Amino acid sequence: MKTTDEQELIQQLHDPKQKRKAFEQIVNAFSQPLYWQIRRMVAYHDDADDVLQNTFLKAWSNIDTFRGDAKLSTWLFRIAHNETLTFLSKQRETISIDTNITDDDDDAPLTLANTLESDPYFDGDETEALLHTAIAALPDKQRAVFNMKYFQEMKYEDMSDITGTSVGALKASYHLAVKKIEEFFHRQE
Amino acid sequence: MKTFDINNPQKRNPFSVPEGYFDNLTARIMEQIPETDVTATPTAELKPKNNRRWIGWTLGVAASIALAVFFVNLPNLFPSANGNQQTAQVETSDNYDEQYEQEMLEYAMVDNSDIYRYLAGGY
Repeated sequence: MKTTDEQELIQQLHDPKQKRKAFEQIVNAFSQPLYWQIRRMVAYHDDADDVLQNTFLKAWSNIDTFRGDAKLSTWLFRIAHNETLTFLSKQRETISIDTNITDDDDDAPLTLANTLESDPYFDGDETEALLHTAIAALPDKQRAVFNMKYFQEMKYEDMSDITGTSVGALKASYHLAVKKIEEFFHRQE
Repeated sequence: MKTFDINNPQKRNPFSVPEGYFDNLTARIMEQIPETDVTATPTAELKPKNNRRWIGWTLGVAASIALAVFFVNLPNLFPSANGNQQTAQVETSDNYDEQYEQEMLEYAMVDNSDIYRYLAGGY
């Protein structure tokens, strides 16, 4: 979205008569990129759809606080990032209670990989399934960093605005994630 | 043998979505968004404003009383040559006025932080 368009949209958001229409334009412009950011984190379509809805609901309820200090996209990606982490945390609590899987259980990502392969909305080959299994084994925040850098090719500065983490820490986190994924592949040989 | 090369530029998105998912996504999300309550906003804004006005008035009255007490006792505060008896009177009067002033502020539910904020132009 161009800066001028964004500024115009922000002005409309503060006009009660135009607010809803302007928000609809935002949903239209950002729903797809936000969906893919969320989907790479939660893996399943239904979960991604739920988190996306929550993201826009949260954005709508807080839209009056948005003054345009940050880019609209950064603000939305930050909400999506936080909503995703909250979802994953709640999901982990539920899974731990239901199946007694702990955070350091080595079988947990493989269980996820097996169900991912049977997911009708995952059509990756064997290597891609392995890659996503390795990614699923990363801690949530590290996984988010890896996805943003590797798949979305986002700049570290933008990632820093979204995650609230320093550029240095993000770089370290990304390199650690790459190392872990490479080791994961070595273990499969 | 499966390997992972971080520098491999071929990155395919293996995830897909149900057919037509993105076609009606905006409409579906907007259905979930609650209507803006236009009447709710001014009411919500009025409440703190009324509250601030009340505190402002109270502080104004309290400040006037404090000033009146100060000016009434001004001659007693700077006794020139009236001796010890006069000084004793000033002390008694000061104690009484201070107590009265504190009571007034207490009844008005005004504390020091309110006064500082008022003086700083926060109301």
